[in-house]
Amino acid sequence: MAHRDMRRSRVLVAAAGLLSGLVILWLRVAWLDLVLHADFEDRAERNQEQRELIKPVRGNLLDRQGRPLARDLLTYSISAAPKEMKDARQVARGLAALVRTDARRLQRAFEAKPRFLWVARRLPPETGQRIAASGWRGVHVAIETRREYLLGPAACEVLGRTDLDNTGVDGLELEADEELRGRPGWTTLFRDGRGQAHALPRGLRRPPVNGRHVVLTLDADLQAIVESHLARAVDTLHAVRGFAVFLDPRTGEVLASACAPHLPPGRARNWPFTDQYEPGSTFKVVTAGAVLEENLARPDQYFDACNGAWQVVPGAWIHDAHRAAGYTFRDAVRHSSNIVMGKLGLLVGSERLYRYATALGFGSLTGVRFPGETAGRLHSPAQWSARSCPTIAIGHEVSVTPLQLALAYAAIANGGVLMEPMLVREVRDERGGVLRRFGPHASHRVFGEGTTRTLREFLTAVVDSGTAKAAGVPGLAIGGKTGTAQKYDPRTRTYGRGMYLSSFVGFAPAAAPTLVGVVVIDEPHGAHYYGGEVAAPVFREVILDLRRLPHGPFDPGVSQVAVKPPAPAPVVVPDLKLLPPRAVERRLAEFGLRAHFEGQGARALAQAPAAGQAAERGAGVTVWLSPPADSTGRTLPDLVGLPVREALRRLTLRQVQARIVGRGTVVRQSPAPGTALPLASGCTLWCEAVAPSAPAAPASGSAAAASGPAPGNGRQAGEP
Amino acid sequence: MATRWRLRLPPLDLPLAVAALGLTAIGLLVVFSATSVPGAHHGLWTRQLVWAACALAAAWIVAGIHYRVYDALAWPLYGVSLLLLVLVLVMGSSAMGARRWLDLGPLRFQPSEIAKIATVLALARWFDNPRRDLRRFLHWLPPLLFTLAPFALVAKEPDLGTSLSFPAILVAMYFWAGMPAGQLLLGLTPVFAAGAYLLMRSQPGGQWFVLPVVAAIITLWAVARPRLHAVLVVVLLNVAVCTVLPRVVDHLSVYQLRRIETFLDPQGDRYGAGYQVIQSQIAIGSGGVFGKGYLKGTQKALAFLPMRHTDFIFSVVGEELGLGGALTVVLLYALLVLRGWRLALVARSGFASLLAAGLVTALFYQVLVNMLMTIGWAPVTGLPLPLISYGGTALIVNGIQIGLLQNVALRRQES
Repeated sequence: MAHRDMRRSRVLVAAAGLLSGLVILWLRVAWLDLVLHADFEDRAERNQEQRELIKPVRGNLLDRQGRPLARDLLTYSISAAPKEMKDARQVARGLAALVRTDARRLQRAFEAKPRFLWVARRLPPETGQRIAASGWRGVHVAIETRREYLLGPAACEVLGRTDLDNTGVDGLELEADEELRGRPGWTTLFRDGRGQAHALPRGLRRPPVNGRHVVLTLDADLQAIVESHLARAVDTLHAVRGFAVFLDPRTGEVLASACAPHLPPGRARNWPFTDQYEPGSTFKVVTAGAVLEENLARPDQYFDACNGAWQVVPGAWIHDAHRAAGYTFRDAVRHSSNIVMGKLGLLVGSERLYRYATALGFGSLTGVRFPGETAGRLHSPAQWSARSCPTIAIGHEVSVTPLQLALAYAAIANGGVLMEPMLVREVRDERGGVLRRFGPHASHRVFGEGTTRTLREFLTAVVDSGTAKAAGVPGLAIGGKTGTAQKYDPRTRTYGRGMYLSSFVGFAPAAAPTLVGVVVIDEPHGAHYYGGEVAAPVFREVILDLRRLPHGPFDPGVSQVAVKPPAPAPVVVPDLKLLPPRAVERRLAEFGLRAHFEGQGARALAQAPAAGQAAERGAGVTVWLSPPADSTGRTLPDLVGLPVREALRRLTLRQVQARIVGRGTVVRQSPAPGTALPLASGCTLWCEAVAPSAPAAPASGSAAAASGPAPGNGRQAGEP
Repeated sequence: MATRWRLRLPPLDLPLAVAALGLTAIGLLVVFSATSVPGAHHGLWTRQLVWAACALAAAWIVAGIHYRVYDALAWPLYGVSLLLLVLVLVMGSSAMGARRWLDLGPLRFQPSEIAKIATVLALARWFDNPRRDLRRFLHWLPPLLFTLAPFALVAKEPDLGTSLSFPAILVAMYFWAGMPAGQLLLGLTPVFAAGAYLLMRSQPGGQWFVLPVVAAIITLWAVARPRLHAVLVVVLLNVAVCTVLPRVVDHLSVYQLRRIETFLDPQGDRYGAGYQVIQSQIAIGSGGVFGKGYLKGTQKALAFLPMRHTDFIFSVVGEELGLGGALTVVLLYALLVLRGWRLALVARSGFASLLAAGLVTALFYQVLVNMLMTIGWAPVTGLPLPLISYGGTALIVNGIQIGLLQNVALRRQES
């Protein structure tokens, strides 16, 4: 042991060393607390607080009668993390009761202690919310939102689409995004060191404001009808594409806007609004209207038609499709004489023709609130050449959009007033209360009543006995005008040979029109390319189908906006496969759905709508039952006369492979009906296109059928 | 009776008692706050209260028995503690990759804590001999060896933090026993060499750290002028460190390496091993001068602070009680340490004096390493903060340490 003095000095050394250690330590703490305090305080706060967005539900797009066209479908998916559970058995039992599965099976699955497993997916909101409210540990509820388009691909160009964030990127989804989007809410979450989020009960939060519903002027029925006939025409004519727009001439409301074929999202454009084309003869009403309004010629005044070829200026000729010595003004419209209409154009004069064309809305935007609308092309007379006046008078050297043309014809149909186009009728709040209502807006008067009456007479004659006879419907007066324009080929810088753009503009009923439609078929291939042969039949088919609709004639009704509350939340159709009928009924009852059984049997074999699709509460689900296993005398049924889909369904039920030739209705089958089953070789069905007299399929169904051409479809050219 | 009690009480070192009791009281308050977060640590506080009472009783009992008894029992106690350390390696229960705990029915304790006290006793007994000349090889080598034994066993658990307290105790007791300073520092050169190597390993350009170390060794040599055998041993030790350490480091368990690397660069792995240190710094730094208020710490409440009621409890002090709270704690520890050294100075017998010095060093080592860890200046090791952290054995062992110090105090006037 050291002696005393040394101990004293050593204690001092030791104490000094130890104390300096503590002093340095404390100084470091002071440094953290004083100098770096602000930074650390910040970091501590950032650590804890986190705002989590609560997504709003996007508003619905409804058709004019309040039927949803696009809506957010909320589904709940339940997953489990058995490792987090306190009492897996109890959770399994509780979950099984809510999800309606076998508790013991679930329990066994939990006992294997996987990190993660799906308990149920795509549950209806009620069940999901009840599970979320139960607060079981280890049970996670994920809300999945899916934008659902109830017409399928139909109308996708005008409705547009949303992106993954449920924001509109195209079409009306983009245009009305402000209304539909809603405002996200947030909760303040406190995130602890384990990364677990706690919504503190007193934490700040703002509830989300769900999007507003937008009632469109579109009519789902008409849209589906137009889509189906347009698609079929494009298909059978082997056309590049087709588009059509229908509107109510009294209000300017767009009732349908269809495109065929449907391009993939991103490339899809709503051609009736965004594409301009050379209108050809359909533009002649501008000239005719100007002549009548300015009283430059009488309807039965005779004009020389130069036997089919007229030299406007040296080197520039105008031809007629049919040679004639001359036409009266009325017949010149009826037979679409280029020469006479060109001469009438000269009669009107450049300035006036231009004034009437612009007054009818050509060359400028219609003001429809839609992204990507084009104005068409109409030069001012200063830029016109010597041949321009007669050429424009017959619809060349100008470009129009189908919407412009439809609005111009609507002005003729409604007595001379150019309407502003409408796409949105109402904006409703979440619960269906009307927030804003949009009325029709007249832009200005173009023609007098008398002029339009005469013009309507002219155009009715066109359908009755002129170039557009194919648009005629027995028992209904229809007015219209055909147009066939050669397409300008940018490669050869000339009008392409054999490249036509055929169109038809019509209105009905002729006396007091309630519907105006423009149908354009781009590059029909085959023997027929005149608008009267190609586009007019589509119009006719649409009118025919409209007359068959349960709500009477094709009057969509101006005041027909549904006053009923919005439809209840859709439910997701459960999977019924292989369930016995009684279980099917019970299962459907849980979802508020009703069962329609087809056939007899012990097990469900197929269902429509399919599992996972949305259905309105209270709707029926068709369930096909398997034939009883012990059924004797199973034979091939007679399928002739059935639509191909129905025939296919019946064959599938009997587990017979089908081979289909052509499309439409089954006209022949092999082997013959009555052949004993099972059939190893399968059954071949020969089909032909639906005859006009065949009963119309439900609108949406036919649209879906028409939009997807079946493989190996028939190569019939033209319409029957 | 009352008068007799009064007669017995005065020899207690009152400042030491006040400091120890104050720290325990602060510990109870902060443990309550740290475990008040809903969830994991429910009911720990009441248990800690019971442990505190037990620690007080242990201190009382330990203080009551004359230190001569401990002197006599030093070697058997040392032997038993080594046995326990071997036992823990064989049948200890492990937590977080280390076997540190021995389960004895309801009792669960860390033998390394007991080994620390036993080693201090054994060393005190060894050095307490008037004939000891620590310049002589055979006089300074044995304590080195029997400190190395518990050190190696504890390091094997592995518990790097606690194991390093043995060399710390040894150095302090060499110093207090009168080893010439130069020789002591020369003996520490392998430690410097090891430090230099680690720096070299972890940082670019680190090889230059070797130069000051070599310079220090040469300077010490000139000053201390050691005997030949000491020179040989020091050279051998340095060579051994330089050859063995790289291999040891390569064989260190992953978590140990990670901790050392994290210490050297906490931001490098801020969501992994550096996470604790960064969160602890955030806790202390966000406390400010006055703290966020008792029970109001957010870092603590939201479990950002790992081990907030044990190893990182000083961060809770810093967060909730601020710079002032930290100062109070540091001052109380300073008081404790100073009174301890004063006891070492005034103790009548050499054994008591050495005992006090060793015990104070053990305590201080733990305090310093733990606090430096919470501010990011020491690697994260599983060392609790004496008297404050939650933990039964730790608290009772601290009680015994304080009891032993008071034991020395009680008998300082004996001849």
